[in-house]
Amino acid sequence: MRPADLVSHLTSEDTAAYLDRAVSESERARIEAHLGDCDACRSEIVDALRLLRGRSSGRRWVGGLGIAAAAAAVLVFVIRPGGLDSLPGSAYREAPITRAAAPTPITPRGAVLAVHSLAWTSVPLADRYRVRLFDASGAVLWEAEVRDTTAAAPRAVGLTPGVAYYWKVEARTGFDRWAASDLTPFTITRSVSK
Amino acid sequence: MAETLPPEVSGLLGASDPAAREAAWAGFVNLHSRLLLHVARAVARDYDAAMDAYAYLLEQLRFDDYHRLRAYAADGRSKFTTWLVVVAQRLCLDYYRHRYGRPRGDSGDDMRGRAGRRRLVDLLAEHVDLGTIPDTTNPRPDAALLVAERMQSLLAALATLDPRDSLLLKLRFEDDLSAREITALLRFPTPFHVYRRLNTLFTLLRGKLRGRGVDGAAP
Repeated sequence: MRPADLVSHLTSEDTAAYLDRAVSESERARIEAHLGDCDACRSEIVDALRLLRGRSSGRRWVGGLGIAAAAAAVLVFVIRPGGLDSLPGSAYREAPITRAAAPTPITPRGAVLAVHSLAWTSVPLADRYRVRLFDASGAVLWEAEVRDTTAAAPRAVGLTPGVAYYWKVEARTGFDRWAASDLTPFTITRSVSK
Repeated sequence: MAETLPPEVSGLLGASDPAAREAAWAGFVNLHSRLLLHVARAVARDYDAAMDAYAYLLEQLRFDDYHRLRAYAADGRSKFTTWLVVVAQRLCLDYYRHRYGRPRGDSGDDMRGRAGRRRLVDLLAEHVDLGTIPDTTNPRPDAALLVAERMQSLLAALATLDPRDSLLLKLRFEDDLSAREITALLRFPTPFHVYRRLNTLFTLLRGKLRGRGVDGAAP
């Protein structure tokens, strides 16, 4: 394998065109030959593919003999000539990383008619929730800390129909320990909050 | 020039005065902010870093009179959103590297490659005795040497493969892509064709390894 620094990498345009199958046969052969040699470009293509397909990136094989031992143990039972189709991928997976449960935004999500309140799921042992509302540029429009799993919609903010907003909620589960939800987008389709 | 430039891009690049350009930029951000945030979050993971990366993305897309968007307009082979994901991902990694020294996951690349090749060695073994699974807590003195020898044999065998086959193995075992994802990327007709090709390659590689005196996987 050639060191990545000594090869010229694919351009963004080449990478995007390859992902969209918008390259000629000769270009495809050139790009695939490069991907076989260049870990950086292959990694970029794989990550972009996962992003485009809505799959989170970063779940990759890191580890050594522990994984090999697990694979070998599976092979005892599974591998036989022509039998890879039945190979259970889950048996190769690393154990999940456990972490504190995070609250899940319930409403608003996606396109809504109006926003009267924000609601989320409760988190065991959480004594406080911090909720934030953002505009599309990431600016914080409103922030509040509450004990309940709902908060009244911020009237003063003046949410505009048709504009994308985002919100997230964090649960305090211990001293200076917060578990955050995903950033949740929503758009008011007809009327502003009242 | 792309034949069908998205209207928000053509409107932005063709805006004649600063006010029109600002309005076009606001429209562009409103349309694509969700995608850009998605990329920023995938690269940065923690909230503050993601929002910083998002701000950097917007700044860089505007930089130098939108020269990146003009590069897309001049090429135009791919869908705009595909191109935007690739560029945003690249910018986020640049930002991460600039701010933290190296992109997340760089240090794991070699290890990932080694682990992937080791999995491949194991899969190439037709018969594995449980007693031969390496005991990582108390390894045999010659275990590391045997593993290294087999890795060398595998690398030599891999080097003889067609580049496309070599890429297929890397995507499957080093990058952990599913057969369905590989099907999409390498243009196989169906995932079954991916499995069949992998089986063919296993058979081929097993033969090459046997030819080099390698049998079984683990020392």
